[in-house]
Amino acid sequence: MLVGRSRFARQSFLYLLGAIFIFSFACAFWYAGVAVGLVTRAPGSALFGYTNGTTTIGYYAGVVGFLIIIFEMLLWVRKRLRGRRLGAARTWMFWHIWLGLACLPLAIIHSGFAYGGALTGIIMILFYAVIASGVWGLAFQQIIPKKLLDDIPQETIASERGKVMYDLFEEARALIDLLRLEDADEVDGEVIVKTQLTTYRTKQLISFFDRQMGPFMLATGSGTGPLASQTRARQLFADLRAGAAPQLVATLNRLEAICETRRQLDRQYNLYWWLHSWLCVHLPLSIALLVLLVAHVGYALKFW
Amino acid sequence: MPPPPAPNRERLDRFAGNRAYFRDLTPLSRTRRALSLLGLAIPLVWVVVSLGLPAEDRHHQLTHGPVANVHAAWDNKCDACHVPSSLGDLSPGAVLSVNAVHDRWNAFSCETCHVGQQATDPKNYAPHHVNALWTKDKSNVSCSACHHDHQGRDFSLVRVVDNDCTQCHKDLKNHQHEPSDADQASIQSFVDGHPDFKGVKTGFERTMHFNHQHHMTPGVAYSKQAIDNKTGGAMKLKDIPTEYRERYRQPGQGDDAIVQLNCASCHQLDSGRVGEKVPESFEADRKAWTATEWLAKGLPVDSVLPPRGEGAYFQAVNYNVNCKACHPMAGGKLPLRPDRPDLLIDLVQLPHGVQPKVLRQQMEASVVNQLLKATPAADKPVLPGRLDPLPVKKSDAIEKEAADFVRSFEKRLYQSANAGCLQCHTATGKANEPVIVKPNSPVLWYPHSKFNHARHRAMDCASCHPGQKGNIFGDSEVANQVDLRKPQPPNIPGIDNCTQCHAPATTVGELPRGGVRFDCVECHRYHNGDLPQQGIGSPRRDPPDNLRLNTDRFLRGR
Repeated sequence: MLVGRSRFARQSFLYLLGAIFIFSFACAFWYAGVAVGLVTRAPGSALFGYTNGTTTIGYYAGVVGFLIIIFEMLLWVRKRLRGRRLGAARTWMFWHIWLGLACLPLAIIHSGFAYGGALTGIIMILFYAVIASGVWGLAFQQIIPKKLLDDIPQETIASERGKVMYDLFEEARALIDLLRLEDADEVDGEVIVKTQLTTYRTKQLISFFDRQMGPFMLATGSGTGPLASQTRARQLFADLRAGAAPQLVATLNRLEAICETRRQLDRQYNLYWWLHSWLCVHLPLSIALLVLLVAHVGYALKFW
Repeated sequence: MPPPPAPNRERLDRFAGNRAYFRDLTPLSRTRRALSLLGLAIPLVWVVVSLGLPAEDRHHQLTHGPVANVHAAWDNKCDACHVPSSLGDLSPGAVLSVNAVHDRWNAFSCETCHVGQQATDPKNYAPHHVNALWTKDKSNVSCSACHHDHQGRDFSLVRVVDNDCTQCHKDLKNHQHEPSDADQASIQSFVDGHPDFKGVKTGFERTMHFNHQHHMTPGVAYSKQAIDNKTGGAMKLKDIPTEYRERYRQPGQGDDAIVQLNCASCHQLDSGRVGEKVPESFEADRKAWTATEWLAKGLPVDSVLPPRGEGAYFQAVNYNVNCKACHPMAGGKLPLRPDRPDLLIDLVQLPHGVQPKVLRQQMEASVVNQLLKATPAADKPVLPGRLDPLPVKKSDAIEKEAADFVRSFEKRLYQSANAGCLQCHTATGKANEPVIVKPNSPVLWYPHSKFNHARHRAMDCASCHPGQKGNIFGDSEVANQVDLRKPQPPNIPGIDNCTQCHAPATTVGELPRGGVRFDCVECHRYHNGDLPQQGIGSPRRDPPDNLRLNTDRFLRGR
């Protein structure tokens, strides 16, 4: 679990309780701030208060929030320099998540619950999108890795998936090529005597490979066709296996296992997409946010 | 126990010709990288292009929010209000120190337009109180301490939050140069620590014998029978002089109808229509016009009663406008002496608003003139050859006659409880030469706050001023006239009356209470705090002539 060191759900629940407690404490602090005048009391309101970037608390909230965002972006540096001793990735991720979430109320306090002008409005929208995509990623990171471990025993390195799939195809083709040789009526001038059924099953299997399994294995995206379904694939191989010679059954078993591996790799690809696609939103928007924040700070330094 | 390594990991020859196999990009990674570059490039291009734009366009794009409508002309001119810094101005300390940056944010040039009157401190626009003492934070006296712009076009810059006031008023004794008679209560808000209004606490001293209930009784009668038109004594419309009658006529009433006064019969808001023609169509307009027009009768109306629109306050009750119709100071004619019934002295219209001592002189002069006119010509000195006769020389006898007549008349004027001046006024001094106490009926009962009657016009007057209507007779058939002539409390409400509505919303029993805004600026003004009723057009708030702006400078903001 990225939100803490525990891998147990019940301890994650404790983290959730801790987050609620911290949020409640922040609210209590907020209203205490209203009571003592640290936070500006809203007109006509005894409880509700607000602030913005020019008030003392709003200003410091902005400064701290900006520093947190700088720290958040350093995670990217940490990942690029993974060979250096820059601390455990888990620790970095822990603080990345919690400080990132803590940054949200700071930004809201700094903004005074308003979007402001074009620059600040875009910054706030980007910030919300970054937080939302981060939470989206955090949620999937809690679920999908365990699912990968449980459901994809044949998991491979994502970037090597294509190579693995091609290797599998090559292995399957080698098995079929062997069958093609065995299917010949004579080899090196020696006549091979085969039963009619064996000949039929072998031809049927070669045809099956050429028409269905080969295209399925070479598909660039997720495989399609009957073999993409585990149930239908099992039925197909069971039909081929019926009355086949033992040597052919061994080949069929291996081919079925290869198809199953291919299906797992497809599922891995889908899960991988859900596991990492949020970064296609989170990271670009974070970079854009940082650029605009620097402009905002620079402009503030000049004019305020 | 960790799961066994996946066979595919074993199968893969990771190092075969590609030692950095783990750096190989997936399609998703390639997409992420491309989007990241866009995420860097797009805002960077926008910022760089913005920096190259003309200043106003740049400010328009980089502002952190539209300014209020009153400042909208300078929406794209940051440097009209903000004092810009350049890199040369910034020391490392000024940049690295967050406090220094925050302090620099208060460097506004508000005084360009809102210049204070004091040449030594042009930023101190219309100071709060001379006695105000800023002990904790000097920046609190800057405009931006209370007025926060960039909150949107419709944001009110003057609707400041309570905290801006209570930062001092919750501990006022430490924010005064000298101890004052200001209430030292710790005020957190209108409903938390705010003392009752000063006038309520000290009491209002009334000097007029006036009873609202009696005047609101039909016919201003003293008995129930009079109201029923059985015994007489109830005033009818036909008893009122014609020129005043329309003001008191209720819809559908004829001249024989009994007069029924209501609040508006005497209390007129300061939203008069002076300067307009008398409308002919709408009776209510005629009444309002007539009432205000009478205030300035004989005077240049537009000067003494300029047109007003708001109607925040009621005009002060005035004898000539509000009382004279039923309480005329008409004279009539009286015999000089009982033994001279043939010599009638005309008691001309007596002036209102002068003390008896002055009134005596005026009456004696009038009587002397009448006696001289009545004196036979032989008694007058004649100078032949002169076209203009010499002034008539008053004889001691005539002066004595006049004085005696006036003394006699003064007894009726000042010593009768049911008629004359003391029917309404209280007086000090001798019985035959009283000194009338100045009436205490101000326009503003609470001069340290503001109130707008027009905003409360949906309310029945008696909701806030109870006890002004009702039965003056009690259980008897006839009212006690002595009680009715006692000075009546003004019935100006205190804070408890206001907090029925101006408080946080709640429910008392099944009745809703509160919910109307109750922030400090709802009733109080900050600037020119020693004379808060002086509006923004007060000469005390005018800029010095040499600091006024022409159009170009005004629109540049510099």
